[in-house]
Amino acid sequence: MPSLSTVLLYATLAAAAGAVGAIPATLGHALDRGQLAWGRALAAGLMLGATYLLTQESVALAPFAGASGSLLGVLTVAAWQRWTAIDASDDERTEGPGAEDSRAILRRGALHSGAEGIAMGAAFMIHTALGIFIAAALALHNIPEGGALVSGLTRRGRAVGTATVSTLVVKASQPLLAGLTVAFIALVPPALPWMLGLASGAMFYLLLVDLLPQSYRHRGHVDIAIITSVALSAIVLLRHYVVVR
Amino acid sequence: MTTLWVFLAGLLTAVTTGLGALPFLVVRTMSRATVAYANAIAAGLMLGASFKLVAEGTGYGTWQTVVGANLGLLFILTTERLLRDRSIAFADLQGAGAKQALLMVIVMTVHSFSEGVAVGVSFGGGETLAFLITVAIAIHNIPEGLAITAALRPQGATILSCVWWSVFSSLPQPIMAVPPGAPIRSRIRGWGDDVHGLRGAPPGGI
Repeated sequence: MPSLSTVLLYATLAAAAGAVGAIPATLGHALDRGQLAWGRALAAGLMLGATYLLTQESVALAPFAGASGSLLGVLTVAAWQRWTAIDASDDERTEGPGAEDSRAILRRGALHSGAEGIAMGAAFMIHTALGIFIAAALALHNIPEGGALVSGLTRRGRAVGTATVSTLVVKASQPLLAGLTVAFIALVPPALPWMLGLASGAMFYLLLVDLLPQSYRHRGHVDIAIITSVALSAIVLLRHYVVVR
Repeated sequence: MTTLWVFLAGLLTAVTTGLGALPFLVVRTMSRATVAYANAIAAGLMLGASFKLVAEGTGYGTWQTVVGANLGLLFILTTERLLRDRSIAFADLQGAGAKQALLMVIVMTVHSFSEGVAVGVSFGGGETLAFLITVAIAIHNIPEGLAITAALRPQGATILSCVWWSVFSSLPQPIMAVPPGAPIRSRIRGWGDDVHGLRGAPPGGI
């Protein structure tokens, strides 16, 4: 079992990668909607890869618990979205129908980060190497996601610096939930397939209702399908050829 | 086991695909919400099948599976591009609905080839294995028929048409279950032994 400090270190590094996405805005090169759509497609492919790996692990451990946990993840995120009044609207739109304010964008970002934090924690409880791999994949995922968050906030009048700090605060839920997940599974070991399923279901739901639809809105589906597929392929290949259990 | 039995086993698995259309006998009206739910069911089934196929495939060869999956994507995108500017009539349908339905049937038909091989392979492992794999693929085909019907029926295709195109998508199964020629037969026998090792069907199988 990995130490809590190891999990927190990798999860914190992954969360901090979100700040890299703010670099273009800091340099005064705001990304256009098409570029953000490509970024979201990359984030979606990496998330889909992580979802695939966690699903495999949960089903291998306990198929019923894994599938039930996955359903629970979907329902939890759907309920959370309804409760916090975040729908699947377009966060690039600043006015008119579907427009969101800064707080709604941050709440949505926190939801993504929370699910990803649980994914990292659960993966670490399978094996440290898998945990590091999932943390690395989600760190890469955090770069375009961070970029999209900063872009959404600056479009609504926030300064780049404030937007970057807000993004990092939102991403802080990743190490927090990764740590809590590890502690919980250490206390209740049978919860492992449930937590793997919960994380995969939650991430799956988010990429289906949020990341991919937002990508399709601003780019043709051909670009988005290819980028998502290549990112997913990279995860499957690296898992096989790089991660040694 | 005669060639006829192998063919009949493949035919049985193909025919069961048509059962997937039957739930739509009780779904009379097709509101926009029903269409959306039907599409969601089809998408979920395809996604689940894709995860399963990738997991099976990587057990045999990771990079080959990944390359194959991306070739599959390119095949769909190319087919879609070829269909884009053409006027298509398919399964009593016209326009965009016909293109979507045709694409779905093409995907299902192509992926059915490997399932036919799986049925043929299982006969190399004895009667019990052949029975198990045939039944497994026959049952597995029902949701595939459901997925095809979920795509065709909301566009206005008749139930009979949905049953036919569901069965059609699995017709490669009896054809591939009886591969001609001794060299292929002996190779299949080898795969059948592998199936005995509980590795499931050959790559891209069940």
